[in-house]
Amino acid sequence: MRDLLKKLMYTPSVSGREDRVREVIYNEIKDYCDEISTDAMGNLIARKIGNGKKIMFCAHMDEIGFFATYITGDGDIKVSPVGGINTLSASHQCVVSESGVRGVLVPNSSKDKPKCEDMYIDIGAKNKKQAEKIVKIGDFFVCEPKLEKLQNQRYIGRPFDDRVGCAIMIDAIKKVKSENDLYFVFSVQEEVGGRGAKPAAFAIAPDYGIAIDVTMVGEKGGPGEMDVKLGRGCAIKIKDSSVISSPELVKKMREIAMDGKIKYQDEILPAGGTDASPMQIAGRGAKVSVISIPTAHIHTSCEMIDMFDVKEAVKLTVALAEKL
Amino acid sequence: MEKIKEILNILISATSPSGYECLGADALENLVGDTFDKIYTDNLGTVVLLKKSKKENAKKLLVDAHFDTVGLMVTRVYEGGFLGVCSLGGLDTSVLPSGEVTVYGNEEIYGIITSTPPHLKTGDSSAPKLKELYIDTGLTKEEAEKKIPVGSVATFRNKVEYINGDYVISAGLDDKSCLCALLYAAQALDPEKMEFDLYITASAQEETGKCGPSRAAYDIAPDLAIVTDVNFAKTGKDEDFEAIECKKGASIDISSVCTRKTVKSIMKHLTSEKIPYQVVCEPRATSTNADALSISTLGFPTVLMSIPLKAMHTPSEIVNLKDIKSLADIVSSIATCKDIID
Amino acid sequence: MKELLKNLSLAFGPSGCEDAVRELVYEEIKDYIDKDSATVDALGNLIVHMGGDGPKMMICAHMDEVGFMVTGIGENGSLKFGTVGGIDPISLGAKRVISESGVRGAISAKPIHLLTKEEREAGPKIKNMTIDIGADTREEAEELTFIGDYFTFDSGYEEYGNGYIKCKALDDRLGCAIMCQLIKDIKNGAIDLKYDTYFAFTTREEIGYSGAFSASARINPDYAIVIESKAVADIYGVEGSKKVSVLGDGVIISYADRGTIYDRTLISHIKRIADENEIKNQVNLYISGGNDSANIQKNACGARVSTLSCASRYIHSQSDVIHETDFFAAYEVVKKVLNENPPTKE
Repeated sequence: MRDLLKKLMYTPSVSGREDRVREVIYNEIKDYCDEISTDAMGNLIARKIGNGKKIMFCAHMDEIGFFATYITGDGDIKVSPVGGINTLSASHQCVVSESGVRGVLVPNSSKDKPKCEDMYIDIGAKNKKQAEKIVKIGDFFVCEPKLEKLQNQRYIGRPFDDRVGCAIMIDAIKKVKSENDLYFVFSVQEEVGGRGAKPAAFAIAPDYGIAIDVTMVGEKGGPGEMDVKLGRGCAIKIKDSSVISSPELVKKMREIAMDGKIKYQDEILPAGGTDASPMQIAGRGAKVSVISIPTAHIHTSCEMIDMFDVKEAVKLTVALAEKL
Repeated sequence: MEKIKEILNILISATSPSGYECLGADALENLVGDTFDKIYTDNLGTVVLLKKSKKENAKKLLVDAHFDTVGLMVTRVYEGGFLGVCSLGGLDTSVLPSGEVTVYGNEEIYGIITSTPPHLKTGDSSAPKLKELYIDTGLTKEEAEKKIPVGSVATFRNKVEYINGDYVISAGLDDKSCLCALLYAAQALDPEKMEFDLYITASAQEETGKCGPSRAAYDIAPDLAIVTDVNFAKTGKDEDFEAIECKKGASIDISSVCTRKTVKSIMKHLTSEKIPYQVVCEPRATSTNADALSISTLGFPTVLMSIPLKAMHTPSEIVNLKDIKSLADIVSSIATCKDIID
Repeated sequence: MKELLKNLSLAFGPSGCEDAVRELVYEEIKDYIDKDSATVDALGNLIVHMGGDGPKMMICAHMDEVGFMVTGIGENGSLKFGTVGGIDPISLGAKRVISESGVRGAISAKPIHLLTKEEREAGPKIKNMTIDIGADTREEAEELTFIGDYFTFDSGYEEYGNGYIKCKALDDRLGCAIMCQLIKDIKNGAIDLKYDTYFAFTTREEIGYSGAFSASARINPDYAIVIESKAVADIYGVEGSKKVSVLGDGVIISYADRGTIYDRTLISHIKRIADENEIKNQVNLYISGGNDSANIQKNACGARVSTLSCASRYIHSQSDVIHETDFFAAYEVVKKVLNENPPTKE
């Protein structure tokens, strides 16, 4: 799991530029599914054919980052954010471009939370001409990938959001044996508002839609009203600001988790959304919920997860695919 | 009016906070009995009721009223059996303190929303934030945790009162007064005379922005859609001279999202039938299901009609029964008219 | 006794309009008292003299509750109102109300969707609220009500959780209920009175110009015990001291509040009796509020006063909440005090 996760995390792919990580995922799963295709938006859709219920699992391949928008006379790169960037955390971080150019993100502001428009990337170029040789307008940058093990089963790194979901799905694809008609969608452009999952869900028209994504925790500086902690199991989403999960599906998920002795937590996320929302409203609509991986410090350059929760999420994914 | 009261009382007592309409779906199905030819619930929780016309090749009329109401959801159980909550839909927090609720845990639990005495308050006097309010269950933390899983929903404990004759005061009149009008109209409609197959959508998740009928419309593919919802009634203040008035009948909305041609044709029809109505204007979007419904699937003519309502999203919403009757009359009249759409 | 508490609490009786409560109290006790022992004075106080040998003791609870008075009727039939007693506007939004003659309505304010940001931040104000009784014109409204009419919360009695009781007007019908029961106990011989005992069911406590003035002037007691409810903030998220007291931890024997510093001899005496009889009791951990005792203490020749209170959450709202443990503890303590010799004066 750790090696797979590392491979996925170290393949930078911001929203709209998911081709590289898709390639990695494709090679991981191609021998384990009956059909595999990429749709017009770039969603990778793997199917395990069955006669039972049509279930769509969905984890997004994209991560947050920056597009290079302008190169100054001094050879600095002005950027525009892709997805919800925490500029406080991104300040003075090492960043890397799609072609491997390294630099440092300079906040260029005295404010606690600098605005992205004030920030630039210093790639060590002496002038515009030098910079233009290695960076093109429209290139993307991300904060440097990272994966380190801490105490217990805790890991820090980035981007867990949502490569950990992709890893869970890949693992589940390899393990699952089910009568159900299973679709595993590795979606694009989630970080910019769930744009990829909607056409995929429209085309598949599933009975159940289950996203696999990270969620916040009510500890470690997270929202205190949340009753979710690291290391207490994966979470079953009841509500966030973009979706109210299907009460029927939530009930089934809880029952299946309990039957399989899978540790889970009930999650109500005060702010944020996932691919569950577009799945819910695409076409005639689906019953949706989310298997969440409790994650501290989301959207910073150092997210934290507990591998126990990841293992429970894999178990729940497999159990749902087989028993729903 | 007694029949309307009877339907309304049952609809209001059905628990249906946004996203959890399933709690009240049985009550709805029992209520309508055999009025309809087909009843089904879609994936979002919208209940679709079909009453067929006897005419061959009848066109399809979708009439929507949302079934969901605003509500609360338990996010956490604290010491002393106090429950942290978040809202389902746009709740006016200023009506919450000292209000009574029912929590739907493993059993129904009575609770009171907390209110700090003014002389012991630390903050300012502004309206309370939901984060600072709790449901007081009078249970211990351990008992509450056992009986009330995180994610349990809660709704206002309601009292329906009929005041000064035809006014009704209750929680949930948004939008059950409209749904009441539709069910009342459907029960009275004669299939021989109906020009349309009538699809009533008691839709889910209007208050939380998911536009239930758009999902149902995907399968129905109607020829005409009417969204019915409540609208702010005039309360006598200077600034709301544009608002509609209670007791003067349902209103037809003129809005950029409604199909102008159809709106005009309906108005012409009602005028010729001498059925009174009010007019209300929304230059832009309407903040109702009409917005999303009008652009769903391949698109179809969409109009919006409203019942005037006072004190929206509170446990004491006020509607006049005459306006419910008026909406029922208008919908019946359209369902039996040949010339509304080409 | 809870049944009595319920009936009394549901009775209509905002300050200055306590007749219905007084009649209910009188009905309840009339078979247990001598005919001439009850007096209704000019302010509406009901004073019952139960006799007994010893110094004069006045047991006091007020009959009135907070409420609303119609101050104007708009062209559109809505009612402007003022509050009778202190009511936090935060607890008023969309609450149901009922008039003396049984006309129902709800408190109405501008809906949240139509508020400006400033209005939302400023919070609810009573001057922006009206009572809606479903009248569309002034004429219609005048058929149902009049300027000067009283309204109270239209809110029922509930028992919930582990021994909690909720109703409107538990402040201070709980005191009235306890006093009714004590009168019955005396008649039934369950108490051997050690004081020349008076019970004063007073009026107008909530507006400060209290009926207790004239009641105490008439009785001129040596000792007085006020039975009350006390505003506490025993809710999650409030720090210890600001909770004031905790519901269910027993009757509060106050040492001081904003209106009164209580008589030390009397409160030590009461505390000792409570402890000896293993009756749960507590002190207030924060100084706040006030009641009739302020007036009784310094009126006429003055008196040694004490207040025994039940902690109340959400006081002066439609949902007064007390705990039955505290209610019964208050009753037991007063009963035992009346049965024991007066404190020796220091």
